[in-house]
Amino acid sequence: MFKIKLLLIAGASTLFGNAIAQTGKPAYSGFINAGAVFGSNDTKIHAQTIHGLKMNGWFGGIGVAVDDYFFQSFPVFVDLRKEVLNKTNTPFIYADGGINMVRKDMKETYMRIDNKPGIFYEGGVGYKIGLNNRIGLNFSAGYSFKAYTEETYTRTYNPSGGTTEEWINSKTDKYALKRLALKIGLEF
Amino acid sequence: MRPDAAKLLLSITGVLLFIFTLTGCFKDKMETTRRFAIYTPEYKTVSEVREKLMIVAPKEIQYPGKIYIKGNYIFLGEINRGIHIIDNSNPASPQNIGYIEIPYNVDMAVKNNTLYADMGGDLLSIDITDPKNARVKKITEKAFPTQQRWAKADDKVIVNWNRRDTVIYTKADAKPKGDEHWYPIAEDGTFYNLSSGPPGSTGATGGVYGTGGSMARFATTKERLFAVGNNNLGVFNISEDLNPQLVVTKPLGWGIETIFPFGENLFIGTNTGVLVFSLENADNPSQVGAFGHVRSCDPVVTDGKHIFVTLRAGSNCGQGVSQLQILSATSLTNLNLVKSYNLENPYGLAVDGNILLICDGTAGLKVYDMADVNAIKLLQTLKDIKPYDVIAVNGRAIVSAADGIYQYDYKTPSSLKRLSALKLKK
Repeated sequence: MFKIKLLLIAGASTLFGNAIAQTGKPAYSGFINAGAVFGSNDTKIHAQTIHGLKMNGWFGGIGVAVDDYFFQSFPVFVDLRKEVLNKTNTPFIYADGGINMVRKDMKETYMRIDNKPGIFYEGGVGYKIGLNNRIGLNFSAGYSFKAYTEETYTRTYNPSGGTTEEWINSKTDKYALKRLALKIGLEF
Repeated sequence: MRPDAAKLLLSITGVLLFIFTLTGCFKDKMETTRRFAIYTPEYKTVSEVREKLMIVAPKEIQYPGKIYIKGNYIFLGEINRGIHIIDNSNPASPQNIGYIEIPYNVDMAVKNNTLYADMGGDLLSIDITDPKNARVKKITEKAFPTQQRWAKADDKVIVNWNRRDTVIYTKADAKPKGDEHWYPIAEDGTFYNLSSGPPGSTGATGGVYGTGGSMARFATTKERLFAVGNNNLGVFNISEDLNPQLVVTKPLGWGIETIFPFGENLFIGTNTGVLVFSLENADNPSQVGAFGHVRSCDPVVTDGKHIFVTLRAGSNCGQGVSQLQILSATSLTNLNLVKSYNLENPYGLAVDGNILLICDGTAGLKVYDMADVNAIKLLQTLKDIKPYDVIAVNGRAIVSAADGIYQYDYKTPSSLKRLSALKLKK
C-alpha cells in the first residue's frame, strides 16, 4: 500500500514538475528535513518543514523548525534557495532568516524567568539527488545561528526595609548559539 | 562507480571536512546583564544613638511599617529606622509632625501618654504627652535578649542604608545549565519580615491604650506590655507608664509572628498555627488553646465570637496556602475551623462588627460582610492599592500600603470613601 502511494505521489509530482518546466510558472514545492546541529554545547536534533514556490531553479518559502540545541526553540523563517545546475542532480545553496521562538517560561514562588525570542538565520550548501523530476533527496551543511534572551526576575523585599514584595529584573542573559547544521531531507 | 554516486560521495566528504574544519570555531556565547542595588551602611555608636533619641523635624515616609493609633495621632513605623508621628485630628488632611530616629525599631504600643518602642534588644519608653515634643524617658537595656544587636555603648550600629544602583555586563561562553535552579538568598529573613501588627485594646483596664494592627508584635493591656519575639513572649509591668519592668520572658516555639489582645486573652499568630493565652494572671499568661495549620505567615484577630487568621504562602512563609481561616471562639480550649476562603496574597486584617477588612497584598484591600461566617460576602475590592495592614475603628480604616498611608470611611462598606492619602517619598 505504501509503495503504491509513493508511486502515485511520484507519478503525480513528475507530471506536475514536467508541466511547470514547460510553462515556467511558479509551482508549489516543499521540504522535510531532519538532522543534527553541532556546536560547543553538544549535538542535538533539528527538524524542519518548508513550503513555498519554485521556479527556474529558484525556491522561496516559509519554514518552521524544532531545534533542541541548548534550549528547545521553534525557528520560524523565510527560506531562499537556488539550484546551481539545471539537472536532476545538482548542488544548491540556501539561506534562511527569521525568528527563534522560545517557550517554557518558568515561574516559582519568588523567581520567574521570561524567555524572549531572538533571531534565527542559517546559510549553507547542499546537494540534491533527483529521484525523479519532482522528488529529490537533499543533503546539506550550513552555518546556523539562533538567539534568545532569558530575563530573570526575583520577588523580593526592599533590602533597606521596604514593606512590599516586588518583582525585580535582576539578570538578563542573551544567548548567541552558533552551530553547524547537517541535514538530510526530502524535496517534493 | 556511477557519476551520481561519486558526486554524492564527494559531497559527503566535503561536508565532513567542513565539520572537522569549523567545529572548533563554533562557540556559543552568553551576554549577561546583572543589576545590583548596593547598600552602604551608615554607622553611629550606641551612645550616639541613645543621646539623640528625640523628635526631629518630620521626614518623608519611605518604608512604612506598622501603624498604631492613639487618640488623634497615628504612629507609623519607618521599618528599622524610626517612627513618624502624624497628627490625624483631621483624617482628610493628616499632618506629619515629627520623627523619632530609632535604629532597629519594628514594633510599638501605647498606654496613656507613653509610647513603647523597641530598638534592637532595648525597650524605649517615650513620653508623648505632647507628641510634638516627644522625649525618650527610659531605656530598658537588653529587654529583648534574643534581639540584642550590641553589647557595649561604643559598639557601632547601622542607622541608615544608602543605596546606589549598578549594572554589570559580562560576556562568556554559554554553558548548559542542566537542572540548575537559582533562588534569591535572603540576608536575614527576620530583618525583612513584614510581620508586625496591632493589638486590640478591648478589655484593657487601668489605662487608656492605643490600637494597633493585626501584624503587631507588641500589645498593651491590663497594665502590661506583651512583646513577642521569634520564640518567646516577654511580659513587662507598665503600671508606672515610664518605668516598664520586665516580669518574665516565656519561651515559646519558633515562628512566633503576631499578638492580638482581646478580653481576657492574648491571641498569638505563629507560622504553624494560633496560640491562645489566658490573662487571668497577667504576669504569667498561660496557654489555654491552640490550632495548627500549614506553615504560612498568619496574623490573627478576633471579635470574641470567631477568630480570623490569614495564611500567606511564599517567601519566608513556607509553601502552604493563601487563605482566610475562620475559627470558632466559642471554646478557646478547643478551637475548631469553621470555614476557609481562598485569598491571593494576604497580610493584615481587621474586624469591626460584621465588617471584615483584609489586606490582600497585590490583590488589593477587600471588604467583606461576615454576618454569616459560612458564607461571607465580598462587598468591595480596592485594587488601586497594595495594602499590608489595617486598623478599623469607628467606621474609619487606616491602611498601610506599599505607596503610602490611606484612610477610608467604611460606614457604607460596599462603597468605601477615601478620606486621605499620605504618599511615600518617591
